[in-house]
Amino acid sequence: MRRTGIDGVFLLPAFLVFTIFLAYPVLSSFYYSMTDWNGLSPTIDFIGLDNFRKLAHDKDVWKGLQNTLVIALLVTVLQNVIGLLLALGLQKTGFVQRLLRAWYLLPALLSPLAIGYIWSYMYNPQFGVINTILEFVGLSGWAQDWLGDRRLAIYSVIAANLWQWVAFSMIIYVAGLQSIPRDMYEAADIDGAGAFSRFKNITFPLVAPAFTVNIVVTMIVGLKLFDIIFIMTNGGPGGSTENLAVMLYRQAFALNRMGYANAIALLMFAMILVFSLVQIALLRRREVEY
Amino acid sequence: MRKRTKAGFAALCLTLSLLVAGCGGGGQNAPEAGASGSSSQPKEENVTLKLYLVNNANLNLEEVHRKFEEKYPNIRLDYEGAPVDQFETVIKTKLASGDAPDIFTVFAGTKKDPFVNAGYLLDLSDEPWVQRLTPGAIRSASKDGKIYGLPRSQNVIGVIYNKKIFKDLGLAVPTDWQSFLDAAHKIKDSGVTPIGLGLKDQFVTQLIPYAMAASAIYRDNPEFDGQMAEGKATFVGSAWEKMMADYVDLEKQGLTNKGVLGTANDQVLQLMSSGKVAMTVSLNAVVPALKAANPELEWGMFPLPYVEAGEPIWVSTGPALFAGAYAKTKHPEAVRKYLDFVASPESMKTILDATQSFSIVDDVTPSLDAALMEIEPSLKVGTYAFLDQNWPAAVQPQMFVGIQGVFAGGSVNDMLAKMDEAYKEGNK
Repeated sequence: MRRTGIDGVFLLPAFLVFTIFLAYPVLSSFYYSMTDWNGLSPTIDFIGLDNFRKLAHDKDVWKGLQNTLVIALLVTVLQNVIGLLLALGLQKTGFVQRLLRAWYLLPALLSPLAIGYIWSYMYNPQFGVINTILEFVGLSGWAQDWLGDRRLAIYSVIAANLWQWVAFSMIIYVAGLQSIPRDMYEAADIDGAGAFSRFKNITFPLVAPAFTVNIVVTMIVGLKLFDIIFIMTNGGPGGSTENLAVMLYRQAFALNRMGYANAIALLMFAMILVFSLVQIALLRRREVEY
Repeated sequence: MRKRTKAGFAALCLTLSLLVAGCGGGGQNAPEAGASGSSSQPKEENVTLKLYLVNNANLNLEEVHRKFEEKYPNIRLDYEGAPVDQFETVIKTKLASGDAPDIFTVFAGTKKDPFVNAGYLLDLSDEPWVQRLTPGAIRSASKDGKIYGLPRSQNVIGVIYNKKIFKDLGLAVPTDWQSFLDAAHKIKDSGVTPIGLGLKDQFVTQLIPYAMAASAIYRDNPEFDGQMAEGKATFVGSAWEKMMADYVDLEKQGLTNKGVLGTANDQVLQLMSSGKVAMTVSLNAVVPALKAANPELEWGMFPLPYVEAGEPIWVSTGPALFAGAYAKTKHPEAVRKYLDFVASPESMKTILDATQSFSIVDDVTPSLDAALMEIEPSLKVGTYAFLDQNWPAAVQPQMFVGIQGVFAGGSVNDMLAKMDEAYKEGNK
């Protein structure tokens, strides 16, 4: 009896912080999504599910949803594949490996704002360094308007984002790889296993916890990617890089549709929740005890 | 067991003391705020005005504020500046939470209307400076016949050009669309990019259509906006269709830099200041920026001649507002004194000289760059306000996305139809 009382006191600060800074805003977002509030007017009209009905018929939202999924998928796959490959290459603790690990991690320490600007300049179609190099090595046919081409822009942004964050996944994989007991590999050597077989049968199964963390984190980050898109293209050209996060910002603050923006936010919330739950359930099953 | 109870008790004390400390902090703040409020009452003088203003353009406000505080030593100015996008989000939060500044930036035209409708802005119609404003400035600061902001300057969209390139090629300032295109082709043949266009920045997308529309629509039909509001006119089927076709054609004919959608405005200005681009259609504020980047080059500015030979060219101009006041400010007298001081010819000249923009009062003549003096006479031929000043707020963002879409290969009709839709929704 006394114990539950004391436990309750321990929980109180966390509970208060959670309620005030998370539960209350999230729940009020539910409320605002059912209003036509413009972000300014003192009167707020309750309009039921109208915003959600509009959402279902809004072509821009469907396009935004598609962009969101493309970004999330590519960010997850590329960041994990490249991150794992880098980690495999750099898992030894020699001087060069440690130096390169720190080197690759540098972009993750920079502000996405700065990175967005730098890459915008590198992608510039006329004097950007990427096209300049392509022309220099005789591949001028490959030169593109990287951020201005409707089909390319989204991949250009994903590439910049990948450059920034790939080492973040790499570091988690390095830690995961280093926690694999040496004797497993020794046993495999004695059994005459080749490099691929060792990866398939030892490394890959045993790096699973790092895999779970990385996949879930990159997926969530990919689904709600905002800053670098906002800086590099602001959703353009013509909405071709606008994902739900950029769209909800534009709806809320450029178009003054606070209620509608909240409805989009809820759609994102539901999507991220479902994706995360499914992923965790699937990936946990793959993890092995050792 | 005993041990745990003790530890639990200690933790309980700690938590409680933290909570109490937290409350104490809050409690201390409350009387302090009250005290400062009441202490200003008996003296009746010492007032602090909170200012929250957009600081994208350098207005040289330090100078104005220094002189103001010299004249009114009892009024202290607590100034906070912010870039425009940050300002737009923060001011709404400040107003909604009741933590509003006494004076804050107000946007010209319909963009201020939601603030007026929400009752946040003080009616300034009876201020002495209202009498001195030009009609265009009054229009952009009013809603339903009342004035809600102090205008500060008039901005102009025109063609900014490199005088040396024009001279070397023997080009005269073009006065109709065909001669403008001919001049551009000649520049292109000489190996220089004729027109710099940085559509990656959304605000750039509107500059050319605004400059075109002044002559193509409003010169012959000043009532177009009124007709749109009544539902008698739409973007679809208007001169916008031809304007957009001619706009996109500039790129198709190779008269712009490569990859307009992937190029930002800053990048265009860099190309211009290194002499690789001859012209750009932009705002007067770009001239001082270009000057600063490369003092060697000489710039001129002429109105975009989107007309047949011999027809008068109208110019797109936009009065910009300085600021308005919070309707429930505790110091309305000090607020009025401040705005009146900013409206004084001396302060106005300081601001106009700093921003290199045109005056909106009759009694102030700013010292402008030679390039800007070149376009000044054209303003007397005829002007029309930046179009978004008369549109419902949602039309302009829709246009930004639409124009980018058209340059990316989308259809002009889709773009205009969406703008009509946004107009109707906002006009309800």
